[in-house]
Amino acid sequence: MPPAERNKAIQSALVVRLRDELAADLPEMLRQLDLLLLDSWPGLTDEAHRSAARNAQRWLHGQVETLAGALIERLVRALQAKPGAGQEVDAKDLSFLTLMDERGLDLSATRINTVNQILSRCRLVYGELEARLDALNGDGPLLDTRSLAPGRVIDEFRTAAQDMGASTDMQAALLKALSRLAPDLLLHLYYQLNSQLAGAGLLPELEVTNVHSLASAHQLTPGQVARSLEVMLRDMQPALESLPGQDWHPGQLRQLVQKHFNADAYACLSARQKSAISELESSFRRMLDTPEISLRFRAQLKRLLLPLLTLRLTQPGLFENPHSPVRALMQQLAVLGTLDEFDPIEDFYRIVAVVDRIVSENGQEQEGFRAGSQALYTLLHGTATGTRRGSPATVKAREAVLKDLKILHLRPPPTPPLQRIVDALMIPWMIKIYESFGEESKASISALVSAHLFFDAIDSTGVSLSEQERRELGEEVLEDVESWISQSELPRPELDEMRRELRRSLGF
Amino acid sequence: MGIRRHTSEFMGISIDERGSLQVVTIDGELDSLEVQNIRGQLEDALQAGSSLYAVDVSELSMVDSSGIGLLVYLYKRATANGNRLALVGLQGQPADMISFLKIDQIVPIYESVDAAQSALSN
Repeated sequence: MPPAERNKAIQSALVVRLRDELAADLPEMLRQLDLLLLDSWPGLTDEAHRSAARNAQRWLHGQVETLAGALIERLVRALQAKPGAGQEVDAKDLSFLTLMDERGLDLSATRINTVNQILSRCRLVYGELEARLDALNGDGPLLDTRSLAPGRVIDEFRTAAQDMGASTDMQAALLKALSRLAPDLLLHLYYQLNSQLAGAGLLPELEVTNVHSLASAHQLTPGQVARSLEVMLRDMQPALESLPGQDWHPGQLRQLVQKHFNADAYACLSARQKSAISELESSFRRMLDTPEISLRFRAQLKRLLLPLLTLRLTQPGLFENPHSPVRALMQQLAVLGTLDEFDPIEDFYRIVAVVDRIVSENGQEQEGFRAGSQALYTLLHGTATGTRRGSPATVKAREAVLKDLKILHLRPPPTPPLQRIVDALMIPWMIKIYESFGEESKASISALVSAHLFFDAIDSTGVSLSEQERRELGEEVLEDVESWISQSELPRPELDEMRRELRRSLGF
Repeated sequence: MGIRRHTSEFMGISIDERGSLQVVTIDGELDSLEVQNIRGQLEDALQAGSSLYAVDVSELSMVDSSGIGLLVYLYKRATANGNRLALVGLQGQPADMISFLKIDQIVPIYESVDAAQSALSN
């Protein structure tokens, strides 16, 4: 049989196997997830977390089978997508740089922790699967090699849950609980798929890692080293992170790579790849030698060196594009690092979380850079405009506002510009009122009513109104928003744009 | 009349008063080395007692991430003290960089000092 036809046959069998394995295990895992949430929520001390876990459990309980079915279809579809599909974001389009709310930032951090826990157990066996899928694609693209990466699987799960109505808080509770169950499921799944591919003749020499013993990458043969580039590079991470910046001499990165690759494996790298190592080292050294970037930010930048090296070697086009999310993220880190040196920023742990994700994915997921860039933009915006700092009274007022808005069970604004009005105008305005007059004051209640009207006006799906009533509501909301605008410190052009967008949305 | 303070052959800053508006002009190349040199002077300028600041960057030919960090820091510092600050005359590479990182969604930007003065005064 010609290689291309043989690979297509292997692909078809693999898809069937994926579907079968998931159909056998996924519903059971979701039932365990249900029980885990049921057991966990009464013991949670934080009110918000308890409520989220309880709601998530109730949400999940009645739809285990539906969620399992949706997730299986999503994963099968993702595997069958052409390699790199969904990764070709218009490199010049940074429209994803919108502000996230606190819950979005929290969900992002939870996702990172969950993926890291999965990777801590599955990294090698997943690396083997990816190598085999790469080999299967050798005669032409058939499958998306990275579609079953832990981060992608978790994202598919989260999106499936979101599509079925799980709120951001519920998604976070689900992911948190999932971190205890997903490693076993994925370890088993990767092992089964590896066995099938190895049995079909794809890299049979690559030892299918026993699910109970993760062998060191150093035990791989020289021929396997080149294919397991990611695994090998990760081995160097601790050594590099512990290397003090001032002790870093030119050429050290190349030496580290040579040391961790044996001579045969290093020879597998092309001249272009070898020179990329030096170029990357040079640009990193410049950043790490910049005293205007705070030390703690430079430490985070250093952690990104190897993931970026992997990216540089495996997806040079993306890295070299000056407008890519990768470049945006690096520049944002440098900007925030400079701010941090002058005036330490709050929420540094969120910066670490962004870097954690990219490190855990070894720079292979463009989404990691994109989402990270969005989180950094939110932090930069909040730090610069003061919305992420404040007195204890402001912090308390902010919590009260968010709690009250949550109680209203409002639907998220339908478009990013409207979301921006909520984040940048409405919530800051409410915080000021809550702080000035107290949470229970008439002024605060009136502010909450105003917020409710705003949400009704921008998305009147659940509201039955005549045309006349709709117009009156719109006018009232426009008037309210003018008072929010009057207290805003945002640049005038942006405020004008918000005004225009709101009028458009309300049909004026 | 402005006080001209050359910090290096690559860049300079000057500070002018136009009524209630303090105009800080930065020209040349604002990279990490220059940030180190001029940060103190710019911080002093923010202590001048004015409540409105325009940072004129129309003659700025290049800025790197540290330079952007400094500009954002100045904005943060000014607004935290209840003052107002805007950038003026962005063009070329600095405009591209600021637009790319969406700093223009954070710091107000105006085409001219007059426009900034009018907007900041309202």
